[in-house]
Amino acid sequence: MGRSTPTVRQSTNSIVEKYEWMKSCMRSSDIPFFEELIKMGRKHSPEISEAGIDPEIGFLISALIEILKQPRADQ
Amino acid sequence: MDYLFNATGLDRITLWYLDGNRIRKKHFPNRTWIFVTGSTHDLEFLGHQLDDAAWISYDWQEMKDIYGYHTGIRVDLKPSWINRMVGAIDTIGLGRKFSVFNADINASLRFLSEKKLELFPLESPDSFDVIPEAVTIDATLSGKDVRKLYLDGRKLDPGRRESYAEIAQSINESILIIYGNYGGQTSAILRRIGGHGYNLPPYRVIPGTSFESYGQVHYNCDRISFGGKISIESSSFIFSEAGVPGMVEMSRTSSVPLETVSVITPGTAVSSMEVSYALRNQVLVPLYKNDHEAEKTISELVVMDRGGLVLQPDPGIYTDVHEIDFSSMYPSIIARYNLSPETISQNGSIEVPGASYRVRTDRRGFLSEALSNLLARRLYYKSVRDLDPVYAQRDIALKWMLLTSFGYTGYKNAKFGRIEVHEAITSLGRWALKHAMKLAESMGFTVIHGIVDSLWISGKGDVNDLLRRIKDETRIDIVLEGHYQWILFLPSRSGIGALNRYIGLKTDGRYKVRGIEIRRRDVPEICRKFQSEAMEIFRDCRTVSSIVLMRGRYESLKRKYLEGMAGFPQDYFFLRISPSRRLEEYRVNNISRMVMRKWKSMGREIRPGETVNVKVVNWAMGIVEPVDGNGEIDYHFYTKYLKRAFEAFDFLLECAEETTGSRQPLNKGLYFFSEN
Repeated sequence: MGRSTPTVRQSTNSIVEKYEWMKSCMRSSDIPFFEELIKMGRKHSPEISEAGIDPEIGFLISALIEILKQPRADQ
Repeated sequence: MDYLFNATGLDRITLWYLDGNRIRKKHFPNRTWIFVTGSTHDLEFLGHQLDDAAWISYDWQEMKDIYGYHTGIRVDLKPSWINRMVGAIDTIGLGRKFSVFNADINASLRFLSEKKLELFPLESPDSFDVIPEAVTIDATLSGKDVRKLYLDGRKLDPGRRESYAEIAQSINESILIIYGNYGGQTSAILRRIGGHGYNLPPYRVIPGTSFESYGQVHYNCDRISFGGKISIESSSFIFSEAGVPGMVEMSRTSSVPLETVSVITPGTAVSSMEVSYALRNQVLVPLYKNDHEAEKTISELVVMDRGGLVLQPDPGIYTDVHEIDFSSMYPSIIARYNLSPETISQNGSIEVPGASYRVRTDRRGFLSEALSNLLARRLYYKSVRDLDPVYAQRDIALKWMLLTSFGYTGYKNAKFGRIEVHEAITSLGRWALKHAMKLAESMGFTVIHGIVDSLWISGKGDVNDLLRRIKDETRIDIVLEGHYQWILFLPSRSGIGALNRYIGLKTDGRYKVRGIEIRRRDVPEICRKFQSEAMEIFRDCRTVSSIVLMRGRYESLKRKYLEGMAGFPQDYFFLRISPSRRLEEYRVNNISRMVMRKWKSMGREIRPGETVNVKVVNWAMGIVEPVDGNGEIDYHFYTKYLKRAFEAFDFLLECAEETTGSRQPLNKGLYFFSEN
């Protein structure tokens, strides 16, 4: 019983854990932007899961969608 | 009229009838059979072996299981012989040559099902049950002493022997005994009754056990079974969820006796219901299943091995929101899409999104048919649950049975389960939610959030029209669960929207909250009290701007709790602690270890999964006390919990102020709640 493959959310967590190491050598002023990007990358996990695409590519697409949305939201 | 309410026994079945307030027991010899299939050659060999044992009678027959008819040997025997016979057949067949059916079915369930008898029969679904005369016993202990004593909710003096005489008399005169023993209180009462020399019916104590389920450790306390009575321990899951009426409904639908219902999970009840349904329809029940998971490629596995679709809400406050829910989504999919192990095929007429298999509709699936009745029953009681508490409790029991019916399709030992059915259910569920989402958007709604079978939408479209269209196109019932004046979706600790943390105020003035402290059992009562009062402050806020106006009252409430902690009663500081391991397995001196050590020093061992109420006296020194102790409280320790309980409502006000422009926009993406 139960799943035998990780969910996209679980895969995304692994990706984030990997990227989090970047923070250790990052300027403090950049860290909030980095964290915002991580949040953006996580945001579309359901769609990535549904499409069955590579979570790492999905993570980047997710961040790009949110970046593209930003100017419109600011208007 | 005689009213069947219980069945017990093995080789001799006793049916318990209620005739007014009297029990009448009727006894029946119980002869049964098992069915064995295999190759003709192997079966003939088995037949020769059975011929040598003249006391065994058997004949060749053709019988059906869910896949079709099989020729085999039907061996007639007493139920108490079945295990030995199966062992012998297994030996003769070298453990692989034979398939055995109807060999591990509870004797009374089988007797009732084959004779087409029903426990707690109802004349119509609206009728009420005839419940045997019941007594309720409970107590609280201080160490091993009885501190408070209750009989049918009435307080008795634990120091007087007459109290124990009264309890003994009630036990002797009642048929249904409902007792609390989570802490050993009824065991202590029975010892006192015995010590005073009063008579009791014979009883046996079944020791409690710790077990793990879905990563959590649980504890079943010692159970007491009184001879000639029906005994129900009050911490039983289904009793605490659905009460006696719910348990009776479960007993009626599953053909499992009431006392057994109190100790099994809803999953076992639904599994028993399926077995009973099979027996009533002369369908064989396999001892061991032989329908292994079909081969898949890795990519097929990745596509199909998924659960329900869960969207990602943006944290924030939303107004005029409708929550629409598919009713019993997964059981409805099983019933309406004919899902059953034998209907999964390469060439059926129903396509399963993403799967290489389809669903046949040229014959009615066993599981689909069996669950249809349960589903219809549940939908009926759901529609009338507001009319009477008994209907509401029946609805809860059926809801739990249906909830677990889906999980059992993927359980390797489920008699009528198969992993492809499990995959097809979740696949069709994801499709239905996506389809509903697209329909909502096409009709002018914005989708805010969605979890498996629920959608939160806002917009000016016609919600009733939307519900009709979704139901027509997905064939699954969907209802309006709530219309919210406003709903706040909270962020998770990672900063993005939490999937299941929200506070919503419905248009009828009722709240629906999930995931915050008021719903959690692992926080002190003071947090729940605070959030309860905070919710009252915002209850009359029909608009976001009216929420902003409550800032002053809310800040006063926070101060009242932070600064006036010492004035709150002791029970505000109780913490429910449930250690997950044995004392010696803890390496860190955390609160679970502190509690276990304290209890051990008082002469009582806490078993993994057991829950106790404690208060923290001095966190730094590792001092905890049981709740009946008086004295100091470490207020600093509780401040941490309290501040965490503020966060959800702080966020509500901040979002409301941002929406009304009375504060700078929040960067919700970077809004983090404090770490644990």
